Amino acid sequence: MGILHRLFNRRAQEVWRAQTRLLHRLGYVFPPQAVQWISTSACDLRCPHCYSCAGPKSDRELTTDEAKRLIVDELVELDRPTLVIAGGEPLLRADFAEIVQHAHGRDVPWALHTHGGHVERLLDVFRNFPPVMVAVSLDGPREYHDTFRGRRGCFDQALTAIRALKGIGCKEVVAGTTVTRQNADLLADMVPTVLSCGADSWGLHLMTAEGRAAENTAMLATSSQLRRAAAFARRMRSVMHVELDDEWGSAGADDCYYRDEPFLCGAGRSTCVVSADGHLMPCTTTDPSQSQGSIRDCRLGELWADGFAAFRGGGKQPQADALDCWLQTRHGRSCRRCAFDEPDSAGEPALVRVSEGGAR
Amino acid sequence: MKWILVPLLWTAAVVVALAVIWRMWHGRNVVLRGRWSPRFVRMVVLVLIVVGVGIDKASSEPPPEAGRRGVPRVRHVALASSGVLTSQAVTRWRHGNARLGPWQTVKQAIVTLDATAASPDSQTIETIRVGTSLLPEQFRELLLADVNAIEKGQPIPTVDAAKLIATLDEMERFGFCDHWSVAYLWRKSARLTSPGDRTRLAELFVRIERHARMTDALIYAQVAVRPTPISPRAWMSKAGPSREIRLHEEQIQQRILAAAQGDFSTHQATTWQRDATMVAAVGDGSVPVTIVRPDGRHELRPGQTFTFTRLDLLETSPGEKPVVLRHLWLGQIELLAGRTLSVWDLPALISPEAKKKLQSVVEKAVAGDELAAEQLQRALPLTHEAIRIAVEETPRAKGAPRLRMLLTLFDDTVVRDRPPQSPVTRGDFLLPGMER
Repeated sequence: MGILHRLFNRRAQEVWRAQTRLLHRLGYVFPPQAVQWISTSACDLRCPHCYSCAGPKSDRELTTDEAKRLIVDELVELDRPTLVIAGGEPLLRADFAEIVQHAHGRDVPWALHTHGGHVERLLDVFRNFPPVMVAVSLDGPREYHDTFRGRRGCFDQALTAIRALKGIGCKEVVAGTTVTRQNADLLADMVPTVLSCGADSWGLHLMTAEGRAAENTAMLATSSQLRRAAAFARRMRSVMHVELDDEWGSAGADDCYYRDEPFLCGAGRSTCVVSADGHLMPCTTTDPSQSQGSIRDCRLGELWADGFAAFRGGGKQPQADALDCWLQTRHGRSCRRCAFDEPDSAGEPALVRVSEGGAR
Repeated sequence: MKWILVPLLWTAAVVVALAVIWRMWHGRNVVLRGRWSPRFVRMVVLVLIVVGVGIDKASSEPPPEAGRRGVPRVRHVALASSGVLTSQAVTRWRHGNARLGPWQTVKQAIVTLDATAASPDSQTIETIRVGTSLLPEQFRELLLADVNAIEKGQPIPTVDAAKLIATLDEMERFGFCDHWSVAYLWRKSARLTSPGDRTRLAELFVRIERHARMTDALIYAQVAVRPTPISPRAWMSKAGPSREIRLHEEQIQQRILAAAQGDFSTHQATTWQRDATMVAAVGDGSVPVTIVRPDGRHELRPGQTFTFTRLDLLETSPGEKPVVLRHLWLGQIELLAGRTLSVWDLPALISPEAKKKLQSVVEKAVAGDELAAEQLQRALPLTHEAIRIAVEETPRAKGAPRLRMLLTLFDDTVVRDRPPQSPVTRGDFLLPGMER
């Protein structure tokens, strides 16, 4: 552990932001650390908080050959970042095993987001081509989860999936809960389930007004709920591995009490998303205006190198603020204040609205 | 040679400058791949940051800082002078808090027991018994006594203040810093009812606060140092870790220790200061009251507003006139003279009219009224008892999950055990040195 290591760790956030800007000015960029691929828009559930408006399969989805050639092979050229396969429900793709096998064969680490309903059917794939991480959605206690997901039995399927994946030695299985107004106060009731299901960690996401969720903004958690949920997570970290995910934004110096690594929004800087129809996006937005181009027209590596200028340069626009979640701030919502700041004597801080230009 | 060297150097400088300008204005972006180029760039950036030119102050607001608003400030002596944290203690802390280590497993088993209120099966009991075998002896005794009581369906045994303080002493000597454990000891303080115990309550709360800050400092230091995990190679396991690994481990302990000691004296806002607090004022016609906080004793005069946390005590002086506190919606709270009162005692001191008001708000919250629940949250030191009763009586009501979340903020974990109602109104507790 040299002086570089020590200096870097003490001021990791500043170093990271400064080097991103500096490199951008000089025309350089680091390879991405993770590339999320919305592998399909098909899903057998219709969850109201879905950021990708999943449902029927889209005609423009990448073919098996395109997925292998335009994504997996490109990632090899980009120093092999983690390929995060998401959806929709990625396990509904008939060629899932083939793509994963290709990634495994090319030494590209892969991870998966799933509702868990089809994991048992494909257990051999997970056994033969082990992922680095699988996140299984768990929205609340049984009754809530099944009602929310619109199908009886989903909760049991999710738990079975988690247990089965741990059973075959999957490296990291995460129970992922998207915190909404409806389930924010069910977190305490979920504890026995999460502790007993065998998951290695519990990831708490926040709903963002993208895709179908944009039609259900009444489901966004209130500022009071955010604060309670964050305080709850901080306590639970003493008992199990709980992480507040990126949508929460930075807790500043207190980040270490909520997550393992200090938060910095990776959108366009260290992560990107390939949409179901092959467009390179900074994050899981469905807004076509944010596309940096299609990987069908231009190589992923070139789009990564030349795109995302607003995220990598400095300035006051929401994209440049690496301490907040861009996906939230682009909808005029910032959660970090109400979640992590101390309340004043008058009570809870109001949910911070982000005005134009990123000023609060 | 100089007449050749100087023009050559100038030429090289011009070429490099032109190349940089060309890259900035005309060149296509390049992805930095491989092992060394990203490292080199990072070194350059570090130098820029260290000399203060690399930071973009305009890019965002400063991150939230601990202890910024509305919470009582506390200043303590630095941990270095307390002698509690040693290199050995840091080593034990790191091992004891290993993810999926035996202690984590025990905590998970106990939390599950607490949360489900189910009778423990033999496997859970065994997990706890085995997992606690490496814990400090006195703490282990407390835990096992509780588990035995749960197993037999008996009430949780009470423990006196001296035992709680001795347990904390032993835990800290052992390097056992843990938020869950210290909150467990704090919850035990709800049952400290004898006058002897009351006299040591302030000492216990000071120690709990110090322990919580020490734990926060260690967590903070661990992240600041962020040690690279190195484990013994398989073929060396019989001989133990290599000299290199041992040295590496020792360096890490020292760095974490140094960082924790530096942070301990400045870090303020633990969950004890942040959550489950309430704001009240001393009534205008009231006699002054002393608030005993981890940082010392402060007299509160009539009209003065203060924040009351779970580790504060209110000490009333002897005399005829009671202290009157004023709360925004629960009105006047009368504190009898000559008492030391903790957060466990306050609910019993609410006036009958205020109790009716509280009950009506609790009923609304149980029915699912969000505003009523928030009202309860802002006065948890006064409302926790009423919430507990409501949740116990109607566990499946619409608003019950939200109220259980509120209780996790107060109890610092998910628990089912309801501390007994304080007998404070019977007037048993006198200040040290006072006679009845």
